[in-house]
Parts: sequence; structure tokens; C-alpha cells
Amino acid sequence: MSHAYRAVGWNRQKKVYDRILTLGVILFLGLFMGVGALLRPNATAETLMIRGFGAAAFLLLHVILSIGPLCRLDPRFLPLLYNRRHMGVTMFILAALHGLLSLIQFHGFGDVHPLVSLFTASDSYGSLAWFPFQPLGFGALVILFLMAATSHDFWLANLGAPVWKALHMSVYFAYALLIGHVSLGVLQAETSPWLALPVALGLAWVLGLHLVAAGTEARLDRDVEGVEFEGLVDVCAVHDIKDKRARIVCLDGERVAIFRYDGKISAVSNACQHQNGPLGEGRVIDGCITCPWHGYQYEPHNGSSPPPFTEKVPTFDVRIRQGRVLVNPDANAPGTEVSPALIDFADKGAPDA
Amino acid sequence: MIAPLRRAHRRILVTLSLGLPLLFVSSMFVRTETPRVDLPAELGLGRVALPEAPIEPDPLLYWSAAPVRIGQSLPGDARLLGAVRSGLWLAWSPELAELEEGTLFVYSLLDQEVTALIGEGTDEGKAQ
Ligand code: HEM
Ligand code: FES
Repeated sequence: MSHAYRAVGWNRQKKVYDRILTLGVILFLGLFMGVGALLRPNATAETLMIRGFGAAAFLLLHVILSIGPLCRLDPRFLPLLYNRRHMGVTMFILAALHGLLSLIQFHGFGDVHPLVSLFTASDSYGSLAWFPFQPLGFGALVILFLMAATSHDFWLANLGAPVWKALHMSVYFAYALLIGHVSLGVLQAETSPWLALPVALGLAWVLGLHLVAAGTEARLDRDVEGVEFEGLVDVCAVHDIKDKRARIVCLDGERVAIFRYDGKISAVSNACQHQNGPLGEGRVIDGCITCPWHGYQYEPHNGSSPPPFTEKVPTFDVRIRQGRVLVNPDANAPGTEVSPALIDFADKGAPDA
Repeated sequence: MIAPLRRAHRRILVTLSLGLPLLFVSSMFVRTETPRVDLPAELGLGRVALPEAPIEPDPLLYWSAAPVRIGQSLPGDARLLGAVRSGLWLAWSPELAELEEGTLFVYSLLDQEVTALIGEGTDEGKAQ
């Protein structure tokens, strides 16, 4: 092991969020099981627990899936992002309890192994109404397990951000399996619209939010149409960038964050090495570009984290010409030193800091 | 850098935005079908249509040699055959295939009572 991974600190704020999360889960379970017991006085504790844990996990998954797009739409949601990992692990624990209790209740008393029973109890794969919905839940649980098990930054550093990201993108596959698990499972047996409606609304919410966020992102992903000058692209005026902030532009399909700080301009890849957070939405703090997601830092002139850390992002050659910022669209290898372009008084234009 | 990842993300989003609403809506359409029990062929009983009785959640399929009434609790000799709803079958005990005389009934684990009789065997079974 090296300094290649660093723990995101346990600060007070994180603990407060953890407490709110725990309290929320307990409250939900209490309310769900309490109301359930009132509505169905003969219901067994196992049934109430299976349903309570399943519903809590499913609801929490909706919250988790909303955080990403919400943060793209409004930075005020960012504190939720810092705490998403704990939500994910909590959701997995709830889902695992639901799955385990279901396995015991529905498959534990036969003469074949519960897991064999889970997969062989029904083979009506050709019928939608009778589709074996439990293997769908099992598939989702396996994915959620892999994600929870690799959620620590140790795995992120060892698998590398792209592999880790790809693994964690399979949460969408898990979500799809769970929509199948619920609509082909409990919604086939319980035909009350008061159950189907929340599932439909949840689905519309998650998909709608992602589509709206994707729409705003797509605008960012249009290549800048700046004039080229000696292989460099004119991306904006110096005074378009606020001090200690960046402007994000798209060059050859990749996003570049162009920072202005201490009378200088430097450009780095917009994707943080940690979890691909948008560096260009961060600020320069203590001379370092600071990622808005979890606070990883990089020096603007070489894209490297200050020692002892070893993260590196690609850098881009920059120049200033007649008050305009020019960037070379070909990225330098991560960590390559690039002299910042110096802003002189004439370039500055309107006071804008 | 991360453009390919972003493209994959977009493709997943488009697929799910089309696929999931379709899955959900079609699952809502099929659920109006009359509940029925698909008895496995090993039992030699074939498919049995369930009576009109509302199907409570967590229903399990049982067999008993004795006559059984709706609303009663689980008879002492009841043998678990499987679960009725949601395309799920429990594990089988092979000797159940030999059971012929008796009542097949649906028992709700949730409400702890018999909720439906299936018209094979006893008169009560047929009458309901
Ligand atoms: C081994 C894995 C799993 C098994 C065997 C399983 C089994 C079941 C069963 C039998 C039901 C119907 C319960 C009833 O009608 O009373 C159910 C419902 C449900 N499951 Fe799962 N499940 C699994 C995984 C999951 C996962 C991973 C989630 C979500 C994160 C989930 C969420 C739900 C929800 C929301 C319901 C409907 C409401 C409820 O009964 O809680 N399940 N599951
Ligand atoms: S994505 Fe986590 S710090 Fe940048």
C-alpha cells in the first residue's frame, strides 16, 4: 500500500449526516412496520420485516440515484454527495436483510438448498405475470454487494478510477432488476394502486431527473468553436474566468478546466482522479485546485496532488494572446509540468475578481 | 480520459428510459389475469384455476387429508406444496406426488388462515 489512496476525512459534518441517515432508516422501519401491523393485525413479524427492509432499501436506492443528477443541477446538494457512500452501504445492509429473511421464509423449509430453491422454484420465464421475480432481486443484491464491498477508497485506488467507475455504474443495472423484482413480484400479488403509484412515481422521478441533468450536460459537451492559432484553440477571454475559479470548455470531446489564480492561467482535465468529480467547478484553495466533490487537491501547473499524495490529472498547454485564452486541445500526460500563462495588466479587461 | 465512460452512461440512460417504463406498464397490464396455480407436472394435477376468493399476500399452497373451511387455521396434517402467487414455488417433497384424496387449499401466511379452496377432493373444496 502507498499514499495512493487517502481517506476522505471523518469530520463532524459526516457524523451528523450519518446520524440523520440512521435515524431516518429507523423512523421509516418503525412507521412502515407499525402501520403494517395495524392494517394487518395477523401479519407475522417476519412478513413485516421482509417488507419493511425491502421497501426501505428500495426507497434509499431512489435517494442515492437522485443525488448525482441533483448535484449537476444545483451545487447546494453537494453535501449529500460526500455522504453517498454511507447511504450505499446502509442500503445494501437493508437489502441483504430483506433477501436473507425472504430466503429463510420462502425457501428455507424445503428439502433443497435455499439458493437452489430460489432459482428452480419457478421456471415460468416465458410469462410476464408469473416471471420468477426473486432471482431478479438476487441479481441486484449481488451487484449491490460488489459495490458496497469495493466502496472504500482503497479499492478505488487499486482498481483505478475507470474500472471502479464502470463497476459502480452497474447500479443502474441493479435498479432495472429491482424495478422488475417489484413490478413482477409484489405488485402482481398486491393490486392496490396505492402500491403501484409510488413505484411509478419513483421511476418517473429517477429517469426524469437523469434526463434533465443529461440535457444540461449535453450543452457542456459541445466543442468550443474558437479560432485556431498555431494549433491552439481560442476558448474565452481572460476576464471570462473569475479569480480562483475555472471555466470548463470541451475540446475534442473531453472537458478541460481552465483556472485563473494569482495572475496566472493553467488548464487541466476536468475529471478528478478520485471519482471523476468536476474539477472545474471547484476552487483554487491554498494554491491548489480543490475538487468540489471530496476535496482532492491538485497543483494547477502540473496537475499533481501535493506530496505525499500521488494523484495526477492531464494538463494542457495554455497561452494568452491579446486578452484571449488559447489552449492546446492535445492533453499532456497526467502530471506534466506546464508553465502557466501570465496575465499582464492589458489582458485583464474589466475588473472581475 | 472520461468521454467513453460518459458515452456509456448516456447509452445506459437512454436504454433504461425506454425499457423500464415499458416493463412497468406491461407488468401492470398482465396483473389483471385471474390468479391460477401452476401445479408442477410431477404432481400429476396439472393447472388448477383458483376460485374467486381474493388472494391475500404470502399465500401458500397446502394439502390436507381432512375437509378444510375458509377462514380456519392450518390443519394439523397440512403438507406444504408451494407458494401460489408471484411465480414462486417452494421446495418439494417427492412423496407429495402420491397424495390424491384430500383438499388443496391456499393458506395466507400473513393472515394465518385458509383463504381459498381448490376444487379437487372434498365436497367443501368443490362447494366454495
Ligand atoms: C436474495 C435476494 C432477494 C430475495 C430472495 C427477495 C425476495 C422477495 C420476496 C419474496 C418479495 C415479496 C414479499 C412479499 O410479497 O411479502 C420481495 C419484495 C420486495 N423486494 Fe425483494 N428479494 C431480494 C432482493 C431484493 C433487493 C436487493 C431489494 C432492494 C434493494 C429488494 C426490494 C424489494 C421490494 C421493495 C419488495 C416489495 C415490497 C416488500 O415486500 O418489501 N429485494 N422480495
Ligand atoms: S471526485 Fe472525489 S475528490 Fe474529486
